[in-house]
Amino acid sequence: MVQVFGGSVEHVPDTDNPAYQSDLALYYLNMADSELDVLAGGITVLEPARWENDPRIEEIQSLGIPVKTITDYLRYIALTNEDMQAVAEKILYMSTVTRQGIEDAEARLKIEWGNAPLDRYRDPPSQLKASLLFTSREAAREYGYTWQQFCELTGPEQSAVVAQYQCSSKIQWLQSEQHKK
Amino acid sequence: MRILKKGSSEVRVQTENGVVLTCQAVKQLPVQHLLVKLGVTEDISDKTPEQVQEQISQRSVADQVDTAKTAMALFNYTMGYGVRADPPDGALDELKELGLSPNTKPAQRATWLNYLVLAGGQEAGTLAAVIMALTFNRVGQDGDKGTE
Repeated sequence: MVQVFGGSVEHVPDTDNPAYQSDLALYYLNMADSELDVLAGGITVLEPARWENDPRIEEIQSLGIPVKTITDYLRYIALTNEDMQAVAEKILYMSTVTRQGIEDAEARLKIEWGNAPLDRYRDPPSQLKASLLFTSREAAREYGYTWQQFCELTGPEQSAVVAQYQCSSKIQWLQSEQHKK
Repeated sequence: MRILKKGSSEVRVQTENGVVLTCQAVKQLPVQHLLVKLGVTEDISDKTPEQVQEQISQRSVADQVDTAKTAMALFNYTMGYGVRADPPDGALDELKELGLSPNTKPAQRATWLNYLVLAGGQEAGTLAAVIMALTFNRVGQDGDKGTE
């Protein structure tokens, strides 16, 4: 709480507060740990064909660390810190709407306006700022999907719906601007 | 324990009984998981081993057994992969006389450090903390560019 002009007080977050920093560090620690539990469900180990026979398991187990599940295997043996980020990005790409998925879908749509690719034109001016979730829900509604149906699509399919929605919105705006001239 | 040289990728330390060890970062994923399993309820980077011990001692006996196993696993993992030194000649025979026959290189390193090198829990905790700091890029965070 800090006193501001006129004697009133306001809440100002103190991001340098050690307790806040400590809570934040713990939050990231738990998030990072839980992330692999979630992502492991989307990973299939191809090589080695039977991960249970990987000789490196014995080394980890000799330290008193059981390696019983594929999540353990990924955590202790297969994935490095760098791999983890790439794997997370790939699985998100395959599972849900992503910026990369939208860009890839737009590229496949090959839309041109006035002999130039659509992405050369700026987005319609708007005061609206919204999350990708909001845009996805709007896109799903526009094309007649229930939210459940939309979520059952693959990540690239969901991204394609959003890409089409955004491209169509931009085309409509470009057309309306053209009519004004 | 004395820190002889501190860099961003390795730290050289001298234990109380004179052994010089080079420490390096280990994989973050296992350490993260073991810390979460330990039930670390706050950032322990600025806590003394006694403070962490106090936090652990407030748990039930069953929890404490689990905690002890996990703490041992964390110690073994950080020593097994975070210390660049192998047991000297004769150390494995000495461990065998104590009934200890670790069968892999990392386990041999961890057991050697635990039973024959480190003076006690506090020194072990300090060495593990050095490796965890390297693992999470915390060495030299306060503008410390490394010291000789």
